[in-house]
Amino acid sequence: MARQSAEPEILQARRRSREAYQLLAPAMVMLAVFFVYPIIWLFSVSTRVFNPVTGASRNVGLAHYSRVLASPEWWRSILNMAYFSGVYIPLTLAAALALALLMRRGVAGRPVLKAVFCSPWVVPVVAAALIWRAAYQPVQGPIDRLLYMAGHDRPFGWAGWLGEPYRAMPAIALMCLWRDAGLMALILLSAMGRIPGETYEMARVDGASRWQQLRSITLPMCSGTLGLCLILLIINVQALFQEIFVMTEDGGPANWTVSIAFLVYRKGYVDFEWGEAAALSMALFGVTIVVILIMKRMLSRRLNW
Amino acid sequence: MTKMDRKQRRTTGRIGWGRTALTWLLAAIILLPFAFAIWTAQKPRDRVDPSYYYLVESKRLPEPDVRREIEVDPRPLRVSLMNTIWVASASTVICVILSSLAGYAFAKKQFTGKRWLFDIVLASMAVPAAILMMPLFHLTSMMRLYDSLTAIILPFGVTGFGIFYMRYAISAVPDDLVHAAQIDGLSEVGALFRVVLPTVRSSVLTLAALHFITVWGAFVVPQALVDSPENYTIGVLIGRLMTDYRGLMWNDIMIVVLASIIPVVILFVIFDRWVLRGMQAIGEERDA
Repeated sequence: MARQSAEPEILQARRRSREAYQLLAPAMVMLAVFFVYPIIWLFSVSTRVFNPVTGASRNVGLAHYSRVLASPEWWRSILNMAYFSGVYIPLTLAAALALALLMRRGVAGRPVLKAVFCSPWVVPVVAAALIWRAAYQPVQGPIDRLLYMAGHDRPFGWAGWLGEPYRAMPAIALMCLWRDAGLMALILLSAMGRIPGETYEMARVDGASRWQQLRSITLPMCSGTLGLCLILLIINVQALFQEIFVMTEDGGPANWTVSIAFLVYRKGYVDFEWGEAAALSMALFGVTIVVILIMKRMLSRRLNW
Repeated sequence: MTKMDRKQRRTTGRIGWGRTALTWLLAAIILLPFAFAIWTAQKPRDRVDPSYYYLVESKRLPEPDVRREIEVDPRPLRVSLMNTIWVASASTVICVILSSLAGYAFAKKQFTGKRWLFDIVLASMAVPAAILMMPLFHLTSMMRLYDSLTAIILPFGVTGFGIFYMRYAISAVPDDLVHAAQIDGLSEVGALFRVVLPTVRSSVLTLAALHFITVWGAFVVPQALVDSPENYTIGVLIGRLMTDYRGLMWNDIMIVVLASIIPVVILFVIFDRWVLRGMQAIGEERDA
């Protein structure tokens, strides 16, 4: 009997689902074709020796994966990513936080400042990277010239900022910091703007110092947004590719600026090893899935279904 | 000054001039690379690169050859700018429409598989573009679209962020408004376009501006999908500048770089309120 009364409800739900699917269909078809299918295709290619021109292929199982894991380039790129993240993530977060704190209280011309701080993010990444590549030139680049004028002993002896193994990755990280810190600062600023002013007043009445207010009010109340900024930065780290393509071209010096994404490109388009490049892509996608799961956990608190 | 800023002014108290000076100083430092680009672009050739003299004087290359090699050909730049305008506009229109439809369904409808589908949307926001190069090359070759502008437009026709953002914007529209529109006899799509989207007009503009800027500067996916210079977008042109045109000098390069920057900066200045709001949207999701 219960079933009879439930049936119309199910039908109603189905009708509503159908309407929703009609609205979703175009976007979901596009996502399926240009995002889901590529991932499936990558997995299938990663198990084959694949010729992109003729389309001929031969199954090799998981051989490409073991080859990737055994290759020194892979571990080199992991180290490089760690080096890059170690410079980029803490410095960008710190710079963003400092900027946001600076702009939180009264500052003249705030709308203009906001636009200026975001401008590096707005321009094409490759354009920004080229400007920085020019700035990093040895000897005649502006940074080296400034150093020389400031009395630095021998900036001229260098292979340049991008030519020296230890210096190249931080140099690229500095460019990324310049690009992203302003954006992160604005995201943090809007989170800080939502903290009620009374909270601070109460703290002041209780005699809390500036530092105590920052530590026990501002930071805890922005922790969710800080976490989100961290996720956005990690997404940038794992996508690191065009910056390297433009600034060091081949991932040099001595592979010290090769990222995983760049390795995918180099395997696929320089060595024409599509099977191995696909295996690398799947490995990178594995990293992405972890990031997505964390991102989902953070966002699900915010998504009210 | 926006309303938000005025409100903030009240809660943030009076202006600190020391603070203001420091912030403006930082802003000036952030603008330095752009100033450097402009400064380099206007310099005469022989002041830019000593190797120019080296090549000419050491007779490693006879003078006319050097000239021919480094002469800036304005054609690729003009062509790629036109291409980019077309690609970015077309994909923006498609993306806004598709994202609105999907965002509306995610915000206002209950259906089976909703969370699962939204997971795919979220996932597509985090996937590095570099791993899509080979599959998209394969796809566009299969569709016989490789090396055409359509090949670039299609993958940018929908983004995870677009759907995510429209879902966020539309969920703020009261349900009663949607029901009222349906009682008035509007279809789902009619209700969306005649009632819902007009109320979230500014979000639509925000998404359009953000998407246009994204596609304008895109390099990774476009460079995998086009091959001949007449199909380059500006991002592809710049990314391949150093490898395609070996003899270029920094002032020539900076002219191209500025040509790619100036249009988006103008767009950004016009739409700055909307762009900033869009960029802060993820952070504001908490209140939704």
